Amino acid sequence: MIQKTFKQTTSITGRLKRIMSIIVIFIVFCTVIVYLSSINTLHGLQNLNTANLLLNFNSQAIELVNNAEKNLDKTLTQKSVDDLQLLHDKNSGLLLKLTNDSIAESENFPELITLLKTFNEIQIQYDIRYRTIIQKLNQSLAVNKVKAEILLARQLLLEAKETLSKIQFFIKNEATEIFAQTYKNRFEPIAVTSIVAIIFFVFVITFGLSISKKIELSLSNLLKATNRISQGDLEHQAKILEFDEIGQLTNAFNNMVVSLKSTQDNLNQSLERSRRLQNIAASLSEALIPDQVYTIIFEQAYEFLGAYSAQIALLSADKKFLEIQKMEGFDKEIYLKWKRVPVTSDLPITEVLHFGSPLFSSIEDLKRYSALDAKEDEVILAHTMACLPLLIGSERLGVLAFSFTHDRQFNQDEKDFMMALARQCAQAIHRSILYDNAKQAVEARDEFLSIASHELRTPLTPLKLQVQGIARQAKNGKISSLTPEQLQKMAESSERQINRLSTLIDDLLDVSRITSGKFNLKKDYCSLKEIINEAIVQYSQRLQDIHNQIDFVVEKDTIGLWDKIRIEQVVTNLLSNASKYAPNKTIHINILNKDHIAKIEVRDEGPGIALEDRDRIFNRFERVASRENLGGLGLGLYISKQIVDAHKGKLFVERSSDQGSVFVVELPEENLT
Amino acid sequence: MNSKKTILLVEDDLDISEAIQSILEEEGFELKCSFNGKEAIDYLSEAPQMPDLILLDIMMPQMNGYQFREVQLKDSRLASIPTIILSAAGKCDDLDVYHFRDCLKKPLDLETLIDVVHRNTD
Repeated sequence: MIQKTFKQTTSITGRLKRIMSIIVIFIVFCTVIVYLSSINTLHGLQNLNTANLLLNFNSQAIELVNNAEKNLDKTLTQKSVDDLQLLHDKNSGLLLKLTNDSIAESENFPELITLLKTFNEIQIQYDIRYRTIIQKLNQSLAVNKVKAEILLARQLLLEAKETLSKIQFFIKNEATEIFAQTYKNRFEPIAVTSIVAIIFFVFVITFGLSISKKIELSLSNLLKATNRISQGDLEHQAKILEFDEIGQLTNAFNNMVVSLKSTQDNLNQSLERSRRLQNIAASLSEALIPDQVYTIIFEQAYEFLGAYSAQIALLSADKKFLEIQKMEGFDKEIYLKWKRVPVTSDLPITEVLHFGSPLFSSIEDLKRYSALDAKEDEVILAHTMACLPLLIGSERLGVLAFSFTHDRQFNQDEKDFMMALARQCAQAIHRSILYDNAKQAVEARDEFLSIASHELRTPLTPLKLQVQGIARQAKNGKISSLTPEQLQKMAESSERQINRLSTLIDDLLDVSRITSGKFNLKKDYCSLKEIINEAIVQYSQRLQDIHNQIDFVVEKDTIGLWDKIRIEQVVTNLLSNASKYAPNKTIHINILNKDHIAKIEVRDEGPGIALEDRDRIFNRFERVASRENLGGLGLGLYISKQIVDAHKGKLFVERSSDQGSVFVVELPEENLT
Repeated sequence: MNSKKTILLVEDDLDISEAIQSILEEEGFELKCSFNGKEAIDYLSEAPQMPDLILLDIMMPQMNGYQFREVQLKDSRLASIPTIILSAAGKCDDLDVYHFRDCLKKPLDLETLIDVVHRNTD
């Protein structure tokens, strides 16, 4: 699983903030609407109030006009003019004030203002007239003249009354109309307020519920995921419903799970790896032969690393070649081409062998090796390669190589695993080689012991029978019946058996000396011809019962600095072999000298030696014939070769056919070292 | 002379062969000697009369004791001849596999040899 990136596109607090501001705007909007819906009603009420006030003024004005009339009536009867004057001023002042107040209140009723102004004018005219009356009275003019003036004044008062009743009528009409209107619209503000409130609540509830629902869902999702993870299900990923803070939290949680899973996977992987390495170590400890080791290593590479091909190449004995021991995955042609490559070739495997450190080559890297041909090695070049040195300490055993399809990259864990695999492999190979050597040594020793015991028992058998025979004759009192000839024959036979035994023991001692490095030569100048002659005599004495003719030709004799007895031993061995494989046939010996090298050629007329056996026969305990077919320890040629080698010479089979084999001993004339 | 029991000795070592021959002839047996399995088969195929016992060495050139025994067991005329092996290996493991009558370990003990030969010819 991969960690997911998250882009937060919404936010819970942002949404809440938005909703809050919408609510505030909404409230302001509602207030305005409610205010607007109630403003008409207020206006009506205000007008009604004004009308009421004006009516009140009107009735006061009527009363004051009536007072003025009474005052006017009293004018002729009143003796004190001053009192009249005072009364009039007071009345007139009140009325003026009322009129002005009414005008001030009637700004909404222009018609009323006109009426009030008319009334005011009438009042002013009356005031003037009344003052005139008072003045005339003071001048004590004729009552008649005053009466006319009073009549005119009365006329003005009537006009005033008329105007006042007009005003009253107007106000009453107006008030009735306003009241009817206001009464009619009395529920409007409540209705508007209620509707607005309902819309507001629906809005708030809807949004609130939707947000809380989403939050609840996201949280329950997260909770479920937490539960599943606590139960060990690390594959589960909580679903992100909203790209908000909870989404962010869920994403962080999911990423945490991914990293937990990856940590757990890594842990499991390393556990698996160490378990695997333990298993490999256990399997390898049981693998005793190299092929078993290779099979185990290859299986691991396929199974655990998904390798396409695997190869194991070991350094040849002379350390000049890398030899493929096992290759799987690639075609046989590739194996045949690369089964043995010089360590100097420009190849990844030789590079690894040279530097002793692992090499992980991509397809591009591989193209740089000049030894890899673009056409012939197309398949190799199409694979990523991992080459690992097989090391035991600083000793290089070879290289372990794996090829992988595609341009594979290795992580550190895989590299570590491969290196561990190579280490285990190297140790197992080393062990198997040691085991193999030990096994071969044990087998050789067992075979040697078996042959030695057989060879030692053979001369012992007649010796024991003869000795027991004599004892038996003596016991039966027949010892005197044995003729001197019989006794002599017995003694000779016994001596022969003893000689055979001592020769065998000498051979065994020689081998022991050679193996322990205590083989010393006692060199002296001697003639090759004399040595051969002596050997022929020795041979004839030792093997009386074998009737081979010996044809000795001296082409050229050599005097050399050699160990006479040892060279004699070599020749006797060759003669003994020749008579063993070619009984009753002529043995040809020829000595010559070529370029200061003395040569002894011993040719028999036997069945010959197969080409593949010609090197083998000079090893310890080796014979051309199978063990059962011919007796002998198989030490003769081995000892002979060691002797010749010690003289810095050569012992080999020059040719061999149906006509027989030719063994050649080459000895340098002098070797003073 | 006709009452003399005949023994075929198959042994490649001349000294052993001679020693056994002189001892058993002394005991009144008639000895026929072959130096390997091949010679023994050749002798048996031409012999007018089958031997009463075969003493068989194992390690011999050309045809060893086991190879001889295989040929012997396939030939109905020869299969019934009691055969004793002379083993130089110091062990007698193959007694049952090849149905040998007995096994004598080298170096042979005189009394045992005489005793075993008598027992298997009487």
